[in-house]
Amino acid sequence: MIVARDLQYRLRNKRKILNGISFNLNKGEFLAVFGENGAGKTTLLDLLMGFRRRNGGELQVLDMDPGTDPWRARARIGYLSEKVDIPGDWDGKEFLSFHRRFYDTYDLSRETALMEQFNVRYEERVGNLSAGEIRRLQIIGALATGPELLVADEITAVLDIIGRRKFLKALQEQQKERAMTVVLATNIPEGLETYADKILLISRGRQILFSETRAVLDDNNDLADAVAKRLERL
Amino acid sequence: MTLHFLKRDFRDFLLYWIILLILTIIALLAGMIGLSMLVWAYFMFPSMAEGYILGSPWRTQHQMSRHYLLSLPISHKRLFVTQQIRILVFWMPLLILMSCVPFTILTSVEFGLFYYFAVFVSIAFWMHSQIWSALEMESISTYLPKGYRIWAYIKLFGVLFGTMAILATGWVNYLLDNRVSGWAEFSQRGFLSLIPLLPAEIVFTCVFVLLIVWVPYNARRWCVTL
Repeated sequence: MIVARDLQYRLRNKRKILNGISFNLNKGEFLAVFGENGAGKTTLLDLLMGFRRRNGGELQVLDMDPGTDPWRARARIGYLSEKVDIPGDWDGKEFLSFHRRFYDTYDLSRETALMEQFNVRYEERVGNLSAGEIRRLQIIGALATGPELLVADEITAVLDIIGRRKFLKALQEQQKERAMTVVLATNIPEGLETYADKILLISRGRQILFSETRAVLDDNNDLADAVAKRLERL
Repeated sequence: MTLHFLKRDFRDFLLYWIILLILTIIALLAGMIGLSMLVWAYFMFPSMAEGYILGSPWRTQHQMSRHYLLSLPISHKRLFVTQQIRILVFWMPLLILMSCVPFTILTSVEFGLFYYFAVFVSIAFWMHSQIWSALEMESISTYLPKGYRIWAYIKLFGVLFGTMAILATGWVNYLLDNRVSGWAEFSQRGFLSLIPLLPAEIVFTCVFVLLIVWVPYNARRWCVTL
C-alpha cells in the first residue's frame, strides 16, 4: 500500500526537513506517526499526498509515485488535516454536497450514518462551528467517500474526548469492513495502542523508530509512556 | 468540474454581483464621471474573490484552503486552469467594458486589433502578479526565517509596482499614440516624455513573453504546498 525508502526533503533554503525516512505499510494496517513539534510529520504526510516533491528516496502510495500527480489515485484517498479549511458561510449540507461531486464512490447512506454518529447537524453554518466540530464535518466527508487509504494529520488534536473516541472507532470499523489503511500523524499517543499496528517515530526529520506497536510497548502496555521514553532518550 | 466550481462561486458572490449591477446602473446614468468610476470598480472587483479562490491560508481560515483543493481527485494542472477560469470570471465586467472602448476612441482598425491583444495580456499579467503575490505572502507568513522576510517583502512590493509601472507605460503610450486617438497633442512633460521610448507594441509583446514563463512558474508553485 505504501512503500517509502530513504525519503529526503529539504526547503528552498537547504534546511533539511526529512532525512532518510523508510517504512512500509500493508493494506488494512494502521500507522501512527509520532514526533516532537517540528519533527517533520506534516511534511511526511504532504509527501504522501503529493503536495510536496521529495528531494531524494523512493515513495509509492497505492502503487503510484505521488510526485507524478496521480490524481485518479486521490479519489481512493481520504485526507484530513488542520490545514483543510471550509468557507465559513457554508453550512454542513453545502460543504458535503460540494465535496461529494468529486467522488464516484461517495456513499450517501454512510454520510447520513456518520452525521448521526458524530452528532453534526447539516444546517449549522461552518463559521458558527468550533474547530472540533469543523473537523468532525471533514471526517464525515472523508469517510463517506469510502477511501482505501486515510491520511490524517493532527486531526485528533482539536477533537474532544468523545469525538476522538468516535473518530478512532469509525476508523476501526472501516478497517474491519473494507480493510482501509490508515496513516495518522499525532502528538497524542494516549489510547492508540489498541488501534495502531505500526509506529513511526521521527525526531528532527530523522527516523528514530519504525516498528510493530506491540514491540514498542513496555510492561504497562502504555504507548504514550513508551513514545515519551524514546523521545527523552534522544 | 469547472462548472461545479463556477456555480458555487456564483452563489458565494451573488451579493457582490448584485452590488456591482446596481453600481453599473448608477454609473451609466451618471455619464462620463460615472463611467470612470465604473472602470475603477470593475478593476477592484476581482481582488475580492482572488484570495478566496486561491485558498491562501494567511488570509482567513474560513475559506476553501489550497490543501483541500489539492487533495481533490483532480489533476493539478487542470485544477490550476480551473482556478484561472474562476478568477477570470470576476474580470469579465472589466473585459466587457474595455471591449467597447475601440468603438468610441480608436481611429485605426489595425491598432484596434492590437488593443484586444493588449487588454488580454494586461489582465492575464495582472492576474498572475496577484497569484504570485498570494503565494509569496503565504511563504512569508509560514516558513520564511526572520532575516529573509524583509527581502521577501521588498521583492513583493517591487513586483507589484513593477507590474503596475509596465502596464501603465504600455497603456499611456498606447492611448497617446496618434494612430489610436489623436491624443498626441496631450502635454508630454516629465515622466510622460519618456513614454514614447517604449512603444506599446514592444511593452505588450514583452509582457506576453514574460507571461509564457510566469504562468508555468505560478502553476508549479501553486500546485505544491510551500
